Amino acid sequence: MIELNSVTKRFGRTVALDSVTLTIQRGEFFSLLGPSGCGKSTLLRTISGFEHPDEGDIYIDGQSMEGVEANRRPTNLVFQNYAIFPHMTVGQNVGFGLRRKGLRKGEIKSQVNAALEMVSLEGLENRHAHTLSGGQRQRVALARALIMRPKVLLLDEPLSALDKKLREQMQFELRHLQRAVGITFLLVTHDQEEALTMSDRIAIMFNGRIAQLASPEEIYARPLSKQVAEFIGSMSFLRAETLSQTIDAITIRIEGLGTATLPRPAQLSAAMKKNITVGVRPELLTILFDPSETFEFETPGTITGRVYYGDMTYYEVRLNNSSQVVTVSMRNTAGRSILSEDSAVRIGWDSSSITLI
Amino acid sequence: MGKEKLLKFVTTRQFIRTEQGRGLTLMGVPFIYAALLLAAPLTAVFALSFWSQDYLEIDRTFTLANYHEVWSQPIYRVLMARSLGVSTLVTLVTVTLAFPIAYFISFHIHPSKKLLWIFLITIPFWTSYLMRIFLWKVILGYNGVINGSLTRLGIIEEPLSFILYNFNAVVITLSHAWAPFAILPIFVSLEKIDRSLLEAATDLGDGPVRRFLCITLPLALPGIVAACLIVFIPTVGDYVTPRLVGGPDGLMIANIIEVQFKRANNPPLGAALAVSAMAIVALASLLFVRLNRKYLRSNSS
Amino acid sequence: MKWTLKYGLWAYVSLYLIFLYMPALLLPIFALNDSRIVAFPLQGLTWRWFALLWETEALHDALRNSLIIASITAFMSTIFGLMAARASSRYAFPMRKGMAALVMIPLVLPEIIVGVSLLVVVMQFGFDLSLWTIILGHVLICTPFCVVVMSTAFNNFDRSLEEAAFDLGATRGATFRWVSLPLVLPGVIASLLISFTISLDEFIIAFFLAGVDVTLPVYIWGLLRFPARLPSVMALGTFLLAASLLLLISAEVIRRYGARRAGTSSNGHLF
Repeated sequence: MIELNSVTKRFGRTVALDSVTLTIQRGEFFSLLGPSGCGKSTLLRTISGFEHPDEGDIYIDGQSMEGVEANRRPTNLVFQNYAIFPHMTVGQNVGFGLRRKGLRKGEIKSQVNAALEMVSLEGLENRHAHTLSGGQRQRVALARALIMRPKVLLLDEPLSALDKKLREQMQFELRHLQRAVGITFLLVTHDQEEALTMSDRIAIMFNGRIAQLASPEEIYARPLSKQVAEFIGSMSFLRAETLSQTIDAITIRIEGLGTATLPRPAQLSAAMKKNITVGVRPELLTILFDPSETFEFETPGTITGRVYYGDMTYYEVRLNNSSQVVTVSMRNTAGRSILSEDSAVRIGWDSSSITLI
Repeated sequence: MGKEKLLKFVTTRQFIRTEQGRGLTLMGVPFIYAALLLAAPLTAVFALSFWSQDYLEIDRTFTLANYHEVWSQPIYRVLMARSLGVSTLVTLVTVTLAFPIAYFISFHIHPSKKLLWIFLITIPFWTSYLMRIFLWKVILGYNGVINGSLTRLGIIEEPLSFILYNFNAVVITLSHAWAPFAILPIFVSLEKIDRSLLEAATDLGDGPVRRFLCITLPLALPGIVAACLIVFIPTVGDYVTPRLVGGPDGLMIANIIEVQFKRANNPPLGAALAVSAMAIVALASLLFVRLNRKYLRSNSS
Repeated sequence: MKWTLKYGLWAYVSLYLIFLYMPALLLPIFALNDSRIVAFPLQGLTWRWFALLWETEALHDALRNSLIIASITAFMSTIFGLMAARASSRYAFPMRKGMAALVMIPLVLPEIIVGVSLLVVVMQFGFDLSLWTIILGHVLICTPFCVVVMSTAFNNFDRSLEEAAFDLGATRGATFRWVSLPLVLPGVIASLLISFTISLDEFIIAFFLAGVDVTLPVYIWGLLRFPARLPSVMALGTFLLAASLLLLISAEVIRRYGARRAGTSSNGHLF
């Protein structure tokens, strides 16, 4: 649906997009995820036609977008601040694009009503834009873009202006809406949770480049770099040493944790260096509360800090015989007490807890 | 259309379609207007000041005679000095009188009523400029409002002569005429002051006087400087007020420029006067801004 | 201490307001005073100076000339102000500051200089002085004010609104017509009003550049030398003050209506 061929965009000396190549499938919910200033918004604005690439080509539905301005592209954009026209009613806002197309009044009215119904705003077409709440404004912006039946709907941080509750609700709604209309959605966000919950695929961007492009599960479980791993979820990084390696397995000794043999990940075909870093997600480690519980590997440690989240508690554990610290998350199930600092604990883990980076 | 011309046409059209091109095209229209009707005429005045009038013709041989006359004849020096003196005094009086008003509206008036007060300040200025000046003649004159009332009340026997057709009358009248132009910029700069700064100063134990001198006044300085320039520059060239209330001893540089261009029919000399006046005003303004910057820098360090 | 300061300030403000309003208050008094001499004591009430205004043909011509000049000036300088403000708030291009500075220069130039320099050019090229030469000068001095007013309007303007309209398929023209213009309309009206008033009241440039047809201020200037005509000048002044107040109040009503429609909160209200 969208094809980018080594798209480069510079602003003065800074390179906002550094030879980005990317293909987005028809009907996909695709997210561009990255910290602010990574180029994701520039990429979105380049696709929508507000910025023009210095090098490279953009194709939408097989058609080159070179020299095609934003108002003639088969894309529509939901702006971060929604950009609701303040001097118009909800109905006039939603019908704006159709009026510019020169459709008949009756036709516009019925389409506007249908679009408002789709975003559950039926009956509000005569309300003035400034009387709307943040969530309603967002729905108006969505309806205003979707009524144009774009081939791609572009969303620029659409949930960032909403409060937490509403944001979570809108994540579900956006996903449902996308399924219902079948339009390709391209979402830009800095919020990993948004990207993970809604997307079919995610591209993580740093410094104008795509660092990893994969499904949410893949990105979470097998981040390609430390940068990606740090950005998505939380991860403890540990020094380790490669002891031996074959074509499909690697044996490593992790300082303070122990020795394990892991299957070689597909993306690591070259020989491993001797000194490496491995990552471990907090939920893949367990603090063993009961002496009868056993694990593939067990390592002693001392709690140095804890953060209580209600349903979960995050512990910082210093591994005995090492200065290395890992984070362990534990579900606060019935009967499980919250451990205090300086408690000695046993950490249980297995070889699948460890991620080679 | 030739091929080259067509190519040029196409590239011009393409240029207009770029962001830069759009900006340049938009700005270009008022710019060209100002260039044609301001920059070019000012250049013409400058050129004219080096020529001379030969009865009905203009002699275009280069001469410094006009400037020599302007800078050596006492009459022009007196007029120039008086113009500068009047402007400086008017600026001082107007801005000093205006500051408390701007302060009052900004700090003692409820925000919802501020615009009403600004309106209140500007209403008297919605009458013709000429008439306002003329009415000051009525107020200050021999049988005017002030002298008439004071005489009838028996406070004075002779009309007060220090406000009659002289320098003082010009200063009073101009101070009135430019009042809103001084109040508004000061008001705007006072409005911009973050009120929490003042609360912080009080919290840190500053008294009202200290707070005013150390925080309010320095922060309002840009507005005060703007007010000074806005009042100073145009008043140097004021024509109407000296003619109406100035009497023979109140005439200013604009009056003599007008005389040279119209009745005396010596435009080159008028041009030399205009150029000299402009140069002096520009110099004085620059000096003022420079001094102010220096003061601000020494104050902040 | 605090209270005396506050009352002192109030007292000062009251005195200052008397100073400000003194001339304006005298206008209607002398306009209705039944005497040929504009001085105290007052003689009694009359409307004849207003009636005289009605009968003076030359005055009507001058007023008509002034209205024509002010209308054309307001229109042209607002368009120039719109262009310059839009260019400097929206686009980046070389020489932007320098070009804007030249347009703004009349703001810091004594009007007599503008009048003189235009007169020199007109004389050099042998053009006839007419209403148009006055308009040229007035547009020059009004444009900077319009730029200031329009810049405020454009700076408060959210650029993504234009992008949204463009993204929804509107052409640049349609975007301006349906989104940008309605949103800066209060600024346009303010700009028209300000330039109209400045032009209507401007004397020096009109004095230098007027040909056979004179403007109202130039006409009044002529009258000021004939004491017998002064009461009718007062009547004229009263009339002009009332008219401009009416204009200003209606403009504020329109602005507030516009602000309510656009949903932008206006800071402060007049009434």
